[in-house]
Amino acid sequence: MEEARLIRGCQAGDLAHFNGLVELYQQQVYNLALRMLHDTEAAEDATQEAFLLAYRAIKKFRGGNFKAWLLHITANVCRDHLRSARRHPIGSLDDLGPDVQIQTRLTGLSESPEDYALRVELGQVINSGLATLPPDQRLAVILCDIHGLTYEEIAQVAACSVGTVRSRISRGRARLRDYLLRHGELLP
Amino acid sequence: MFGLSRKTECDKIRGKLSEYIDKRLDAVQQERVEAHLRGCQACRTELESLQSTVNLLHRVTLVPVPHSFTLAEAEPARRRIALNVLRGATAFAALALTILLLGDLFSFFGGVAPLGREALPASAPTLAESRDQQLSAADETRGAPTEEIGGALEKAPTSKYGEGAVQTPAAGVLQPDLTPVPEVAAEEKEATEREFGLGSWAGGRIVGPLRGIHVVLLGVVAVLGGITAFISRRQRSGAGDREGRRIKNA
Repeated sequence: MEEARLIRGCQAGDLAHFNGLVELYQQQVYNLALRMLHDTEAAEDATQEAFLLAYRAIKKFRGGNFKAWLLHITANVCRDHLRSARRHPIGSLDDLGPDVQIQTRLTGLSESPEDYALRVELGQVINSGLATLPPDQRLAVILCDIHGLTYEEIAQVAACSVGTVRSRISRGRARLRDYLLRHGELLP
Repeated sequence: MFGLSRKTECDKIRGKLSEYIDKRLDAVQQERVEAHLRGCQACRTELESLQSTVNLLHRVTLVPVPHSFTLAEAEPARRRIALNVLRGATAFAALALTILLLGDLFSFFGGVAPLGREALPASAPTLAESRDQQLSAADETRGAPTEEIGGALEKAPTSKYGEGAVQTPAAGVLQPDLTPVPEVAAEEKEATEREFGLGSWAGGRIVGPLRGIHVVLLGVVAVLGGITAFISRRQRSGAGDREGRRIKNA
């Protein structure tokens, strides 16, 4: 398997092999950081930091789910950023101008421009809704419904039990659903 | 009572709806949920709203990365080696300067005037000794001036101001001649130069060979030390946000 070969190579000290893993997973890592931190600049920093930490710790990886291992590092970095942001608040997310709005795209079949605009607007509302969730629930919902991880993989990323993952997903989805209903975006 | 029981059952079922949506329930649990949904409109509405939310989330696509996050090897090894070479060269120059200065102080290097008197060669007289020698030589050639002066005073006529008055030496009485002869003046000058370590900057005199080396080494130490400090500070401040990292973003 390509991933296994790359992991063996970078554990032997080959940076090129690690960069192969970076290219495989950088989009997932960046998107997780982006939706956890709701800030593009912070997400870039967190992504860079996550890969640096992963490179240093690669020899400690003893096999298993590499994606979950990498996203676990990313989640920890995001948690640290959020704690730091709480200690040094930079203002409400509502203060961000349109340029900083995260472009969340939804897949759409052939659609009219009006449908496209609605879809873009809906994507932004979903992103805003995710930002209102507690970090633990936000992480669980993002990993499950956007990144497609299983409950077991999410448990590994979040370093908690499957039962806790189950509870966080259930509550997170319900809160997001309530947010979308309040903003009139969720059609019954 | 039945209402309370039904509400509790709804709470339990709603707690299972996410797993039901994700198809994680076993057969028994799935049948129990579906049976409840068949008889509970509220829970069916709850399920539909949750399912719509999940459907929307499933349509979210991943945003492209703004740039590559691949890593590149920085050049800390080469920089460290260069910095260590600079430090070594500075230390070597400083050590050489120290050895030369110490050698100069204790006159380990021949032909160089030491900074202290005791290192003077025995054959070279000091200034005081040179003058003593001059006086002795004058005494020998010109006789004992004290006797002559005393004799002259006795013979001198009484001054019109009376006895005991100060008398100038009578004509003919010889005085020690302290005018230095040319060869003695040259020796005295050389001895003075040695004694006070001339070869210094005072008076624009020419610097001796080893003094020149001192100056050169001092300059080398200053330049190398300044460059080393500058590079060290640049590395520390420039790599401040990547402190400790050996890898940088490509």
